[in-house]
Amino acid sequence: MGNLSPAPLPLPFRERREKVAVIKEKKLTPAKRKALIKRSIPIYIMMLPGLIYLVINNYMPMPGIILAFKKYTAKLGIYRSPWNGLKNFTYLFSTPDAFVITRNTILYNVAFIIINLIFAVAVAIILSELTGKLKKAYQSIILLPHLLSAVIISYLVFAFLSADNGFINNSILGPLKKDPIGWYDNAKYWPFILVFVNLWKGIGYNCIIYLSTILGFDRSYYEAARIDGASKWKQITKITLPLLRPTIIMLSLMAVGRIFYSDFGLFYQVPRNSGALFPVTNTIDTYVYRALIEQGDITKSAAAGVYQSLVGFILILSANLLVRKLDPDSALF
Amino acid sequence: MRKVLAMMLALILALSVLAGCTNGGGSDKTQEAQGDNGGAEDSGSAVEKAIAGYKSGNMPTVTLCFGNFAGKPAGVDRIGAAMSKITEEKLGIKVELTIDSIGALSQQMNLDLASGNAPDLFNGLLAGFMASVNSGYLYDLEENGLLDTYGAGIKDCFREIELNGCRVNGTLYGIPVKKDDAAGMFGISIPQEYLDTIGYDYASKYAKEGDEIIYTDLDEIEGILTQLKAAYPDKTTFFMDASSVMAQCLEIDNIGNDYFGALCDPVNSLEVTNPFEDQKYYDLCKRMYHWNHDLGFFSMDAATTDVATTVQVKSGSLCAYKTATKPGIKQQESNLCGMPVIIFQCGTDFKKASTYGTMPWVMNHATEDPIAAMLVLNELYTNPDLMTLFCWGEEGKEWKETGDGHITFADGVDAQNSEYYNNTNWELPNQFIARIWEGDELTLWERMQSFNDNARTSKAMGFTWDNSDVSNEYSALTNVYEEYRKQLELGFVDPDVAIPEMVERLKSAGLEKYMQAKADALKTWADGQK
Amino acid sequence: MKRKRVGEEGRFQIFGNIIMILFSLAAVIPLVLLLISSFTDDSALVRNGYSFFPEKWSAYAYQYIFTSGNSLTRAYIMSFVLTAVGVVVGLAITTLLAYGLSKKFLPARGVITFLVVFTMLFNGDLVPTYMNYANVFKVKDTFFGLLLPGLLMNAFNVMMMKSYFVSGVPDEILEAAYIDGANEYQTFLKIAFPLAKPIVATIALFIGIGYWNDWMNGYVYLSKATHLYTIQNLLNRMMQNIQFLQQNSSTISGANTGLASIPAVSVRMAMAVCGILPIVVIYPFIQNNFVKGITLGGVKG
Repeated sequence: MGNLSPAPLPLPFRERREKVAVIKEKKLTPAKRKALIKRSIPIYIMMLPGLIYLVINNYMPMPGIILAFKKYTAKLGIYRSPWNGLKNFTYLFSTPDAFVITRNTILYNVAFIIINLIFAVAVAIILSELTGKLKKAYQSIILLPHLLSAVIISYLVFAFLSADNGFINNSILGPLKKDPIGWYDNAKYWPFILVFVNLWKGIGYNCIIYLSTILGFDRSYYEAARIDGASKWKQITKITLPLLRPTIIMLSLMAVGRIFYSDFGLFYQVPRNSGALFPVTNTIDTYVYRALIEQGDITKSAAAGVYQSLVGFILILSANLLVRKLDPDSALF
Repeated sequence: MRKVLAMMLALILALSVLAGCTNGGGSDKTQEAQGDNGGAEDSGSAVEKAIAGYKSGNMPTVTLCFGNFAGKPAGVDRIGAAMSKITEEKLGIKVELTIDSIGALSQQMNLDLASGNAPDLFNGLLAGFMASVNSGYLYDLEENGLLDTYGAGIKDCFREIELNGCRVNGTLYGIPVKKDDAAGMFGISIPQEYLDTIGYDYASKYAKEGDEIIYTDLDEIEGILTQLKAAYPDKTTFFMDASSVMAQCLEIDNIGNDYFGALCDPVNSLEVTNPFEDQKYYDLCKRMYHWNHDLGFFSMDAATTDVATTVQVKSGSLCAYKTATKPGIKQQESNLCGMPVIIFQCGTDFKKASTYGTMPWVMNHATEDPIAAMLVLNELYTNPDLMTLFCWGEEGKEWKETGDGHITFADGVDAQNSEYYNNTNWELPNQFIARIWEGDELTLWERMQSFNDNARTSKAMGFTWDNSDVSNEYSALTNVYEEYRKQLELGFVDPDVAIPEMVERLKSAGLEKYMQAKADALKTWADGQK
Repeated sequence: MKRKRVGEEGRFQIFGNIIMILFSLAAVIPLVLLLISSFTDDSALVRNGYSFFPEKWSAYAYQYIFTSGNSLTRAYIMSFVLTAVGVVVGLAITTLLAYGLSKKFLPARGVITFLVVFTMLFNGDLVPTYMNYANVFKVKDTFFGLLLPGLLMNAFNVMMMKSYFVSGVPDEILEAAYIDGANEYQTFLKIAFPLAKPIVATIALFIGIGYWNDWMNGYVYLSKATHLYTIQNLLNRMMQNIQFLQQNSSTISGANTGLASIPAVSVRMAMAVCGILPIVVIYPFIQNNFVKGITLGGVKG
């Protein structure tokens, strides 16, 4: 029973790695090269629509990034406006708030990445193992919060947390004879509230990829394990999780690239822009937004965008490098 | 007999309002008007020439745009066509009208201005007047004498100092709208019914018969509110819309449109000081702290709710609230609350330096035919038929005559199903010349004009400021102030503790540098005025 | 031995169901509150706050929505058409690109992959993107303004799909088909695509949710053509107004009048209900196919 050997690396992965080596060797012979290119042409044609879309949607507006370094005047347009050096960036660093907004953005994202990962994988595994008819119902129900806009979520949260009329103060703390809590005035609760709301909103969506990956696994591994008498827990830890590893790493890598971004709706709408909560709700995106609504200076938001992209780019490259060292197959590129 | 007299009186008053505009309103205008006379003939012929040109050639189209709160009205194209008919006949210019929700339009306007797709004439509120000026989105209205030559009627509607409110560094970028330019500070609105319950004798408090506002002080209000609290323990006693406390309660002029350095004695002095260290601010916060913390007048949700005050009153959850006052306020608030209210006022009538620059009509920098646009704008300020269309829609479709000089909803039409009822006439160029809706007095605009003229006026009237050189400090300061504002001004925290803390943090965020920059700009401006 | 396994399986099923019921309750309870608030009399809502047992019921909010010329039905149709077109086109170009990227022998594969991933990290800001679409491609006030910007395909979906093709669709089968004389297009359509059904269903769901939830494109690219508004645009327009008023209420003297003329809280709730209702009704049907697709792929893989 307990004599199950440590899970072997699933077959497809091992084979694949060997094959890569073979193809690379083949590639060196010049005779086959022509055939290879000929074979590649239909593939390129298939890729063309997607690549054209990327050019239109992403690469054509990209030179607009120089907006971040310009003093913009409408009459001259983006490209002829005078340069402004790095001046558009200074507001992100020169103020006492710079530390707070950077800290909040990073810490929340780290918390979100870890907690979302744990819950999404757990829910995906449970859903994949359940046999009853309810399985389908669960899956659609937990996806519903994802379909609500941030503003509506802020109303729902307010319905629970409002100091005078809120569900928690009136129907839970009231009967317990506890004093009502001014939720929107007390910063200490909000790290938990925000993490919870983020989890609640995203769980159904986040588990989809893991679930579809698990359902794609070869069932024969599990059959073999069951014949060997492995317990459910063993099956999960020795088969499912190792097989999920590439997906987990890839999704986490992509999340790391967005670590300097924050969900504006979550941090602005859900706390209802309450000033008392700024120390724990102000992130780079809300700061930029607040600074800009009155000034309407597009160069500053462009500068913030460049800053966030740049940091994300560096982070994702270094994380990818690390992953490639430890587990080459899971690396993003 | 009495009826006839009343009718005649109303007619005379209505005419005098019209005349008040076309003749320039104030007596100090006469001199300027005479001075302009010499040029007027030239401009007259230039206008005629331009109109003749338009009528014989291809008619240009001028696009107009403003935002409401209900979304695109069903009748917008019909009203646009009717307006166009007037301008085509008179000016040889077609007009196109765009109206949509202000929230949707404001973002769109920014993008359209940046990419050159914006309408020709629009209300500057949509993209923020100063922000638009700083980004170079707006047309210089005096370029090549544009306003003097083709906008003579506009010049007659305003005094020079009023137009200067839309001037930035000497360049005129907009034309103010005709509205309530001053505001009565610290007005309190309380439903009559509640005052009756506590037996408060409001009738005797009016200074003279026929007044609509009771002038009083905060101690008196505090007494009333205490009684209201006792009589209606389940209702919230008092509420202030958190975002406008300083603007509508204190006679402090936030020159440059922010409070980081302001005129705390604006009627007498041009000294830029820190309003948060001013006694007025402390007194206000202290009073609110007393009301909130000690007397429990406020709801615990006051800082986060987004339900309009009047809606709260209407639903029966609120007893009293703050409002800025102006002529017609009693009628306006009674309509909104769905019951008659009594208006008190604890502060002065005050006119800020920035009042003319908040929502002027502006011209897009990429306008194809500025002359045509200016002619249309001029017509909007001077043609009552055109303005009535713009404000209220078509006669017989949206409105009808009531017989006493007012207009009201046409038969079978109400606010819900009307195809053109924007309820945002304060955004339009000159509502003073349009017809008057039933419920408002026929003399409303005349009273408004004298209210505007008699209010205490900031010494910095006409000063505008481009803060882009210190915009980093501005971002940081805004952030600090936002953190404390609602807590302090709605009395959730003790000002003795929180004000010094906030001031400290403002200073480390660059308050002094910012104030100095503002003071320097003000000094330069003041020297230029002499 | 056997009995013990069954017992363990049973325990797991009970435990799993309990966990999922808790998650489902957490998701459903706030939505029930949303539904009840939309049927609560507005004055009661302002007076007593949100409640599961309102003092006074009212269908006014729905009456308002359906009669006040918001053209809700048209917006529904627009939302459905947009989502359907978006999913079909988006799925096609995403799958084809991902399939190409999964081909190890493809020259310049690394470079192309990098160019795809790069778009995840850097993009032009809103303003350059807008100028590109509005001035170069003239999508303003057209259906393409809703369809094209941003949503059709993104690098994340491409990479997800590519990694599925790499790990879930064995090269041997594809190579065998190729050697048997099938060309690349046939190999893709007959073998790779059916094998990739789980990920195809997943990405289709992602793209679909993206289009259904989107309000930004309508907000930015539709100014005159409000007849193209989707359900989310209608909902969002109201929220924008409220926010604009709150930000400007110190300068706008008419702000109070404006705020009062904005639809009441119950109407906002009713709009939200209208926004998610079709999903609640339709999702089970979609999901049927979705789950079928997943298990089908699972068995074969």
